[in-house]
Amino acid sequence: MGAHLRLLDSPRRDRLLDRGERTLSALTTSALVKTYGDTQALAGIDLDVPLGSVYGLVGPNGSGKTTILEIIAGLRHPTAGTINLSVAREDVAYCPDAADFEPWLTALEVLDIAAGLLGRPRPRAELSDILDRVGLADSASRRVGGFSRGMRTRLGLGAGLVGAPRLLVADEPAAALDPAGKVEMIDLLAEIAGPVTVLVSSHDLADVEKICSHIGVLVQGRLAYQGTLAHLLEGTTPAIRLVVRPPANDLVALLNDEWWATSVTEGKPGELMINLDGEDAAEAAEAAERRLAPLLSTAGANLVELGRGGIRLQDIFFELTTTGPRRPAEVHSS
Amino acid sequence: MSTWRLEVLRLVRTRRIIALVAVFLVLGLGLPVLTYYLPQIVKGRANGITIIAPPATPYDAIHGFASNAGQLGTLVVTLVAAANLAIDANPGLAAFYRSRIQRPVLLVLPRYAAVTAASVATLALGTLAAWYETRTVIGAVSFGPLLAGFALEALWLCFVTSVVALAAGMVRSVTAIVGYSIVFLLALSLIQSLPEANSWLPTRLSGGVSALVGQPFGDTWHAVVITGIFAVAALAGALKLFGSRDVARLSGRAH
Repeated sequence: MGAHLRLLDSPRRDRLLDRGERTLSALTTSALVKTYGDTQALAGIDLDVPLGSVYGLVGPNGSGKTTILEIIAGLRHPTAGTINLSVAREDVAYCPDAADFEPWLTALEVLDIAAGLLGRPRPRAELSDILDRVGLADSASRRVGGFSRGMRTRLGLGAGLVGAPRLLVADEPAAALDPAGKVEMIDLLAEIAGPVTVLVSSHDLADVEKICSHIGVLVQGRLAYQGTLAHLLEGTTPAIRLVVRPPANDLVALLNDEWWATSVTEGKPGELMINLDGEDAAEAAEAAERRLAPLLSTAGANLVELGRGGIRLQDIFFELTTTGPRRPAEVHSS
Repeated sequence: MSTWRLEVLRLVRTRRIIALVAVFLVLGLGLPVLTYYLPQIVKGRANGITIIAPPATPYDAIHGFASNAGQLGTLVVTLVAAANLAIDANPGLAAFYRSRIQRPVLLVLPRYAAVTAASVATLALGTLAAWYETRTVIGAVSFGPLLAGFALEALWLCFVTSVVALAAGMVRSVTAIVGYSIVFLLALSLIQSLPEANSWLPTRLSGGVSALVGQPFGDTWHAVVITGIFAVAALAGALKLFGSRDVARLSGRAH
């Protein structure tokens, strides 16, 4: 994992680190092509989703993310190419971005019918537990017709989990949720990962960065990058972005004396970019965390904003998606 | 929950079963009474004109029920079946169902069977009501021919729901399914008027109750066989079409 990502200090992050090295695949596609009339939605995709990974599929609108996921879910037929699953077809669960259910069914009945369709009936208590996991325990007996889009999305994930899937395919699972719901959803996906391989598409790169061990960047129906997130972020300089009320001259002088700050630049007045020591990033990050508050106090600087700086997934994403897809030889695969 | 129970819930909770019960039961209970009182109603509104109306016969009552059930009943069955069999009308729902089943037959067959069974059951209810009312207010009706006529009508409804299933495999929206089905059934009715086609087309079975009760119906086995074959072929075609069709794009866009 990229050194500066350790700044997130997430126990989940540490747990996901090991999975980056797995080589067995839960799902691979070979030269997957999908055309709609004259439009080529997918132009030969060779997806490789490692077993047990959380694979994030990102790309701009219209890049083909949903098309891939729907083909994997069996909702679309590919024009050409093959899909190879190492898990049984019925062990694949799909959660669409616009999940919908019969409005005259209750939430509990939706899970019951989801289990019934898979031929895996579940006791009521188990279904209630799943509703509890997705935050719908209080709405178990309510008809789905009165649910908000966010609640339907949660129920969609619940319906996905009901068959104890081994591969969960989720299309924009957090898109319709409020900020708190979004965090819960991302946490839930991270929680189920491991025994369950998760393939998730998202517009939110912060979410992807937070939970995904692997990433595929789609641009105009082609994979511009595929591999571990760590590999993608390798070589980027860890940095901290610090905004104080100007002037910041005293603070800059103090920072320049710190061993962990390899360089300090002031873009706009008060906006500092502090590059950390890349060779020992973890120690530098710890030192920065420990020293920043005393330094601010000594310099008499008023803190406005503090966050991560430097090159992030978002920057790499923009680079990949604006320069167009790389040639096949340049597509990473780890 | 099994898909069969789901389909029963669908009929009950969407109140579609009420539409079926209402149309056949109202016709079954109402038309014999209306037939009985029709001469008096007409005389009461004659305004001095002498109208000679023969007394109502049991055949008139059953014929009134059968012809109305054959038209209005078929229309309502078509609407209800279209609503039930429009599996791909809502992409979100289609994704929920289709991503969980391995073969389309597991999805289509319970829906087809449920709506067909409900249609036939409510037709039976209506026919019983018509028989009882006719017997009470006008006179006795032989139960044997009535039962045979009901069997022909029931086969006609099976055929109608198969046509709807086939249309649902061709188009997605409920409106389009209803449109395709009605155009096809109307076209059959038009062809039925040709003497060469009269004895073997499925439309011959519609209104079979009145024909059997009132007069000799002639050979029906051609029509029965053709209807049965067509119903099975339409259902098989529907399954093939459902299996080969992509689900419509969710939220109308591709990512």
